[in-house]
Amino acid sequence: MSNKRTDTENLHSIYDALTDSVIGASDDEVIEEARLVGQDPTIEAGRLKAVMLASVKAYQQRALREAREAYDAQEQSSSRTSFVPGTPAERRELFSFVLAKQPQYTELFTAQHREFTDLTDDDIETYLEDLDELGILQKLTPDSDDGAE
Amino acid sequence: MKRESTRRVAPEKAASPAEIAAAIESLTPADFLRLGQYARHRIRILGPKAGSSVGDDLLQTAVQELLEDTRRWDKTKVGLMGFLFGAMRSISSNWAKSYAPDEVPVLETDLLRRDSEGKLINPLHSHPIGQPTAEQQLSHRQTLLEIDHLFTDDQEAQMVLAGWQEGLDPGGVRDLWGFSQNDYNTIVRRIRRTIDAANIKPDRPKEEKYVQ
Repeated sequence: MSNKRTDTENLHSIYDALTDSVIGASDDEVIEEARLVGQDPTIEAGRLKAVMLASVKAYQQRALREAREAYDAQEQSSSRTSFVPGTPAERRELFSFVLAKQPQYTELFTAQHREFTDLTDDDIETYLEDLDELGILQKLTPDSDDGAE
Repeated sequence: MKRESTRRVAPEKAASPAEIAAAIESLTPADFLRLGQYARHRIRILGPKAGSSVGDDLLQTAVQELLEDTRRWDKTKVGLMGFLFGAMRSISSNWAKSYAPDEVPVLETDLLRRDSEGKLINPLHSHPIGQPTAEQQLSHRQTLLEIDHLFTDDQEAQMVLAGWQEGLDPGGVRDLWGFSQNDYNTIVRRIRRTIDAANIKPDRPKEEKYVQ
């Protein structure tokens, strides 16, 4: 037989074929081969089963922990007191107060909206919610100490 | 080590962790042994490319990648065993590709081989990136000689080995030599056990290697 393949290809072909032959080996053969390498087949099979199931258990525990952390974070977020007023008129009043008290936040807002003239109630609500999430409203509301940071 | 996503299986067809656990529970003791032996053989093929990983690590990685959705098992198409064999083959292949061996000087003359027309060729002159290093090529040649030596008195084993080296699959080897399925299985089992007993590995650590 002529063989134009490299030594590396030849060797890998041999080992691939040998390894794949394990897949089709009979139950008796794999049990016998476990004994040949000094293993108790029953103990070894039990050990491998435990290894695989341990992976599943570790994954399930991690997934559960991550889900719990995500739930806790959501709970924490939703239970936090909102400092955004309930009516458009109150929000507009707070909005004006914030801009007067802390003009640096005006820059953040104007970067997005450029002009104050055409602001909708939704624009103002969104902006206040952003400030609220950052904890800024809590410090700036007229009822808080002095509104200063 | 590097991971690579396989072709995606639709989420509704992919097995859930509970289904995976149930499938593991349903395997027989021989199945577990078969998986363990397959993993061990694949690690042996890797030699030093496996790093500190052993067969258990390869099997665990296959299960983890399945659970983490890096690989999806389409349980409507293949059993868990078939999926895990394929995953272990792919993962170990990725480990081999990501291996960066230290360079060790090898005499160029040791690498010369003859092509089918008897002309001397030097593998270093056509050594693309990602191909075996000169050191590995030398090691592979020595390993082939060792395997050949193991079966000097076993003509049937030599015939099967020659078929594999031609790139033939089991059916091709049986057709080539006229072996029955049982004959072929018996010969392969003999080859496997002989090489196992000799503990020959394709890529050995440097300290076991040829000294200049």
